[in-house]
Order: sequence, then structure tokens, then C-alpha cells
Amino acid sequence: MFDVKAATFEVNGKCLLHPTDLGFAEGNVYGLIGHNGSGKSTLLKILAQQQQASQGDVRLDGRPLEDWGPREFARQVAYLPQQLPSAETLTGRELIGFGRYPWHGLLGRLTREDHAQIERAIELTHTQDFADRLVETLSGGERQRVWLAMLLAQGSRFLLLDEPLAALDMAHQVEVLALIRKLCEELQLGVIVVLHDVNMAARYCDHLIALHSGRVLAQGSPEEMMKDDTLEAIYGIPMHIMTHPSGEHAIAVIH
Amino acid sequence: MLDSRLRLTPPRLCLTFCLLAMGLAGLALQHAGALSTALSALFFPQADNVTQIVLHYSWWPRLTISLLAGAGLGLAGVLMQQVLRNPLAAPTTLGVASGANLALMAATLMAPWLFALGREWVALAGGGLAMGLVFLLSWRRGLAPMVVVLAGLVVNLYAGALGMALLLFNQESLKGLLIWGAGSLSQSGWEGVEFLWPRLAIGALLAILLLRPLAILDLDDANARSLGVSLKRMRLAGLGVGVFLTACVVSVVGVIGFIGLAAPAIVRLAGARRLMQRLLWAPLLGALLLASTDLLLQRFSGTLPTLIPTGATTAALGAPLLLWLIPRLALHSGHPTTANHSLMRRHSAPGRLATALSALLVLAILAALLTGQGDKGWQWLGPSQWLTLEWRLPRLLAASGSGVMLAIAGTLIQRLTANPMASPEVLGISGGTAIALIGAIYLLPGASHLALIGIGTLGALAVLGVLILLNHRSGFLPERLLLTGVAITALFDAVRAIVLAGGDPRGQQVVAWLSGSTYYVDLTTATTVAILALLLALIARPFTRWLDILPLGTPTAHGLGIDITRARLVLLGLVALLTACATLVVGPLSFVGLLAPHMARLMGFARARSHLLGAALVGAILMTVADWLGRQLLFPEEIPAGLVASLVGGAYFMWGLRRI
Repeated sequence: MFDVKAATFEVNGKCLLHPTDLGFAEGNVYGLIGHNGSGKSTLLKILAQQQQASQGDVRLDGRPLEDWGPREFARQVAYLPQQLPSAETLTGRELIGFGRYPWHGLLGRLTREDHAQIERAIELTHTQDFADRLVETLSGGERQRVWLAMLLAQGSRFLLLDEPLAALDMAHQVEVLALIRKLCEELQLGVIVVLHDVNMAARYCDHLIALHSGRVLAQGSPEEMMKDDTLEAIYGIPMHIMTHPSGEHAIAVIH
Repeated sequence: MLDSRLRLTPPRLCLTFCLLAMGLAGLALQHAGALSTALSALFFPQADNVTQIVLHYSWWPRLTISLLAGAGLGLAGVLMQQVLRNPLAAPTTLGVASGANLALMAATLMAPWLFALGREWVALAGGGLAMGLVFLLSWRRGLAPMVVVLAGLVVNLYAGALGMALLLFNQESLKGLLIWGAGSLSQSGWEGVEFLWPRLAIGALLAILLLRPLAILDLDDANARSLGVSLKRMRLAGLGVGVFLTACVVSVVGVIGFIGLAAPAIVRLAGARRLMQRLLWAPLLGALLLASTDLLLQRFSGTLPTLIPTGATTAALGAPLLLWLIPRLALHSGHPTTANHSLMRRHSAPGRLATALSALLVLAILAALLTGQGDKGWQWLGPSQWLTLEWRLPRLLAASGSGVMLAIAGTLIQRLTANPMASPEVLGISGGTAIALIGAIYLLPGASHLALIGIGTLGALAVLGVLILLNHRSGFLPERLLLTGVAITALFDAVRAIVLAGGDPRGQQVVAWLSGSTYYVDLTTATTVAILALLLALIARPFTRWLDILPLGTPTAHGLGIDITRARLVLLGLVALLTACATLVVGPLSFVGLLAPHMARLMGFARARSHLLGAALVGAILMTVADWLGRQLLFPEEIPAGLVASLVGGAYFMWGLRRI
């Protein structure tokens, strides 16, 4: 359980995140939506301990984040940065294997459990076919899935994903989100994901949090959030809600 | 946060230095007479007044040339750092200067008639040839920054080693050049200024024309390409202008290091983020920095016993400034990382490759121990001559041991900083050791071997302390760490150049040590080195997981639960230990630490563990062969192992670069 109380973030006197109160529980997929520069990534980085909150209190399971040891924290929370670094001459399997670092540490041996987790992550992400190829030779979508596999191998309770769909085609976007959904339900993972496509977010998330200029503008279930005026306030352009031809859920279109 | 009124900005910085330079100039002129007469001496010197003649033909040209040279180097530095996306790129690290230096040395020794054409043209040709070679080596890869940097480094080291070898055997005839090599601004008329200013003006004009397309290089490759910039042509143009500027400056005033690296770095630290700002302020700061240094030097040179070249002292002012700035200011934008995918091959069976290298090492060791030249030419060591081993073994152990240590240190630092230009030497550790030792050689005549080692270790520890002190707060950000190291190294290089230019006979011992000789090693020391090398290699091995993950960048490493500050500190300490041990015995061998890791990468060692192993083996083989060759090539004369390693390894590396 993540608890955010009055957390703020400032850089050079500029406030990127105004006092924010939020809670994130396991077993749910949370979608962070909002315009560029609304503070989505900042919030995610604070939760991932990539950045320290300037003020306020952020706790995981009731313990302040800074009290967690680095590896102890990484066993609970896995983070995928927005820009994937170049993995030079690593194979997919080796990269995925790095996900086990929080468990075996610098000196520990790779146990059977570690190998099993790596194989499971490869299976879940359907990366068997290219796990033994060099990461640099993979296409953008394949690479994204290999990195996601690394996060899964980490075996954490929370996944923090910063725009994981950016490099993916439509089919893979759906596939990745469906996978995240499935993991969340089967393993009771808490997933916090920054998404640009509000329709994707509404379809796969349990809870949407909209940020605007560093403040939480609105939050709620997708049904509550998928309103013309709410979306217009979030994105700053007129939006229109209609029902998907299948009649099951709402979709937003630009006027 | 500092009060905005007190915050350092490039204009304020330049103004400070401008005032300093003007103050110093004023003092100097006061010495010579009233300001008005000095000014009139600039334009209408009276032919019968000696003071005015000196002012007109020496003082004013010298001031002008220092301003021009500083500006040119600053501009060249900005261009190179922009194109290569590396804060360590500088006119003097890419081979231009050492190429020019080598050309002058070769011309002095072999074809002195060339100087009839003008010293400038010889130097220009040398610099141009060196850079031509760099371009040739990296052409097939579209002048990708990574390849240009590697090619520049190896050409620089190669030319430097050749120059050092020439110097070692012809110290008397090249003495004058040694002063030029350290950068001398002394002028005897306006010819230098007349040569330099039109060329600098052309260079500056070209730089301004290139401004927009170069600014796009702030983006990564794909974005830049999609904006319609031909990367190859852009890089060629940007580097070409930078090289042209450097070569012109170097040909007139000699090798003036550091300004080209420091001026762009300082203005960037002070907040000039956009290329336009940097292009404006870096040359200005470079000019003022060089002029102030030179004026200071002139003021105090009267009290010093020897002629001190300015180039050697630029770091004396610039380096403390850089060190002072580094912990105070935020580095705003990192250079975008370059994807160097498919640049490096990956060997399918690194184990087999390592076995092959080990076999090669055994062969090299046997050859070094059992063969050699004697009074009757080449001979095998017969059973009756085992005593000779007593002489050969220490050198073999010392050479291979230090090769291993430096190669491992280089691998660690390159993986830690994710910068291919990083080497143990760049951190300043070997510089610190070197200076402590030089000081001991001069100040404590007849100090025992043990005392020297102790003093050298103290020097290394002091540098490590400074590195930690200045970088602790930023969590040892690689870029800052490297800049700190560069500043420290430059400071020490300055001291070294001053010592060598003094012409003291003890300098010969220093030169021999600096070029990496195993000549003075005894068996106890050698055994200690070999054991230490094995021990530290074993200590480095468990860190391979960090070394695999750290190059993926801070967010990933942090996300996986690595305590980054601690990891960097531990690795830094290990690098310091390895470097100090190796430097103490064989001197600062830049080549092995810098290029053995790259050679291992080129062979296909990819994972950290095999990379460490491969680099260590390459380092050991290289040093063993180099030491042996150094003893045989000019028998009974000797060439220091460090030089041979640069020459042999450099040739191999260039051949390897050609293929990627």
C-alpha cells in the first residue's frame, strides 16, 4: 500500500508537484493521465524513489520510503523509466536476469528460484523467440517487452511504468495492457502506469488519476472520469464521449 | 540556492576575468611607464626608445596572441564537445596537437630545411595528417562520435608515444621544442598575430554558419536525422572547423592544453546551456583565462630560475576555477547518449577466446624469459645461464602485473562512467602519484625506494580524498567526477611540464619514469606487484553485477535496488588502489588503462566479467610483449615498455577500428 500525504516536488523554486494526497493499493491498476508536463512522471519518480519529495510524506506499507533499504525496496517496487537506456551488447535473457539483482544482491548465487522467475517472466511476456538475441537488434516493441520482462523477473508487488506503450504498435499496446491487467488480477500486483491514450487507460485501468499543472484535477473509476467536461478540463480540448459499437464501454473522441 | 544577484553567470565570470586581466596589464604597463605612452607604443613606437620598442614588438603582440589563442581554443573546444557529445573531448585529446608536435620533432631531426617554409606550416601539416587519420578510421561509421573519440584517442597516444620516443633519444637537439611543446607565447613581432587572426576569423565565421545545424546535434541521432540533418556531413564540418582552429593555434604558440576543455566546461557549469551562448562565452572566457595566466606568469617569472612556458601553466588558473565550480553548480543538460548499437561485436564463446589469450600470454612470458640478445646476437637461455632470469623475471612480473592492474582499472572506470574516454589517468590518481614522486626525486635526494613508494601512495590518497570531497554531495555523478579528475590531472601536468622545461638533469630520470620503464624494478617489488595484481583482480571480480547494470543508467540501476552512491564510491576506491599500485612501479601508462578495455570489447568480450578478464589478459600480454620488445629493438639501448605498448597496441587498435 502506497500512501502519499502532502507530497510536493520543486526544482529551482519551480513547483512541479503541488501538495498531493493519494493512496495506491495492490490488486488495482492505476492510470495516471494528463497533458505533457502535468506532473505524471514526477509523481511516479517520487513513488519509485528516483526522486525525493521536497516536502510531505510518502509511505510504503506504513514505512517512510527513505527507511527502506535499496534492495529491500526494489523487491517491493519495480520501475520502468520512460526512456529505455541502450543495452549495448546484452542478450534479452541477460537483461531479464538483471531483474533478479534485488534478490541475490552483489555476491549471492543465482538459485533455482531465480531461474524459474526469469523463465516465468519470459513466458508471460512472450519473449521466448528473441530472448537470446542481442537487445540492440530487437525492434522497439520487442525491446519494450524484454524490459517489461525484466521488471516482472524482479518479482515485486508494485509495478511503476512510465509510458510503457510509447514504442508499441496497436496490437502490442493491447497485448501489453492485457498482460498488465492479467498480472494484476492473478498475482495481486499494484500497477501504476502513465498513459497518454485515455481510451486505453479507461479500458484497462481500475482507477484513473488526472493531473493538471502539478495538481490532482480529478480521480475516480473510468466510468466517473469518462465525461465530456472532465476530459476537456484534463486535456484542454473539447472531447466527446460515445459508446463503443460493441456497446460495452465508453470511448472519447476529439470534437 | 544562491541569491540571484550573486549567482555566477557566464557574463559575470568573463567580467571578473576581464578585470583581472586589465588589472594585471595595467600593473605591467605602469612598470614600463605611463599608460598613455604604452598605448602610443602600440601604434606609433619611437624607434629610439628601448622600452617602447619592447612594448611594441614583444609585450603587445604577446597579449594579443594570448587572447587570440585562448579564444581559438575555446571555440574549437565547444565545437568538438558539441559534435562528439562528450565533455572530455578537447582539441588536445584528439590527436591534432600531438600530431603537430610530432611533425615538428621529426622535421627538426630529419628535415630541418622544411622550416624554411615556416614552422607554422610544418605544424599545420602534422595536425592535419593526424586528424586525417582519425577521419579515415571513422569514415565508414559515418563519423559516429564513439568511433571518432576512440580513433582520436589512439592517434593522440600514438603520436605522443612516437614523440616521446624521439625525445628520449634526442633530448639535446629537441630541447627548444620541449618549450614549444609546453606552449610558449613569447613573441618577437606581429607575424604570429598576422598569421593567426585571419584564420581565426574564418573559423569563427564558419562556426556561426554551422550554428543551427550543430544545435540540432543536442538531440539524439534519430531525431537529428529526421530533421533533415546529414549527420556525417555535419560532424565532418564541425570537427573540421574545430581541427582547423586548433591546428592554427598550435602551430603558432605550441600545445596549450586545458583551455579547450575547460573554457567550454566552465561556461556550461556557469549556466550557458544553449549552443549559441556557449559559442559566444567559451572563446571569450578562453581568451581572458589565457591572457590572465600569461600576464601573471610574466609578472612572477622574474623571480623564478627558469623560463616557464605559459601553456604549462594555464591549468594553474583554470583548474582551481573548475574545481571550485564543480561542487557548486548544477550540470543542467547531460549530453544525449549515443546509441552505439552493433558497433561492438559479441564473441559467441568468450571462454574460448580467453583461453586462446591465456595461451598467447604463456607464449609471450616464455619468449620474454628465455630469449634475448646477448654479446653474440640472439640466443636461447641455456640451463647454464639460469642466473639471467634473476634480471628478467622482475621486469616481466612488474610489466605484466601493472598491465593487469591498469587494464582492470580502466574497465572499471569506463563502465562506471559509461564514457569511452575515461581512463584511470583521467581521474588524476596517477597524476597525484607522479607529482608526489617527482617532488620526492627533487626534494629528497637519495630517498630510499620504500620512502618513494610511501610518498607516491600519499599522493594518490590525497587525490582520492579531493575527488571524494568534491563529489560526495552530487552522489559521484560520472560527468562531474571526470571533470574533477581532468582538472586535477591538468594541474599536475602543468607542474610536470614546468619541471621538465627547467632542463634540470634529474628531469631525465623523470622522463624515463613517465614513459613507463621497468628498468628500476627489483625482484621484491616486482613480486609484490604481481601478487597485488592477482589479489586486486580477484577483489574486482565480485563487482561484475554492478558493472553490468551501472552502464544501463542511474534510473535502471536505482530501480533494481543498487545503492548507487555507495557502489560508485567502492568502485572509485578500487580504481584508485589499482592505479596507484601500477603507477608507483612503472609510471603512468596511459595506453593500457585507456585502450586495453576497448581492445577487449573489440574482440567481443561483452559481459562485465568476461570484459574484466579479457582486458586483464590483453593488458598483461601487451605489457609483457612491450617490455620484451623494448629491450630487444635497439639492443643494447632500451625503449621504455610504456612507449612500446602505445606503439604496438596503437597499431593493433587502429587496425581493429578499421573493421567495426
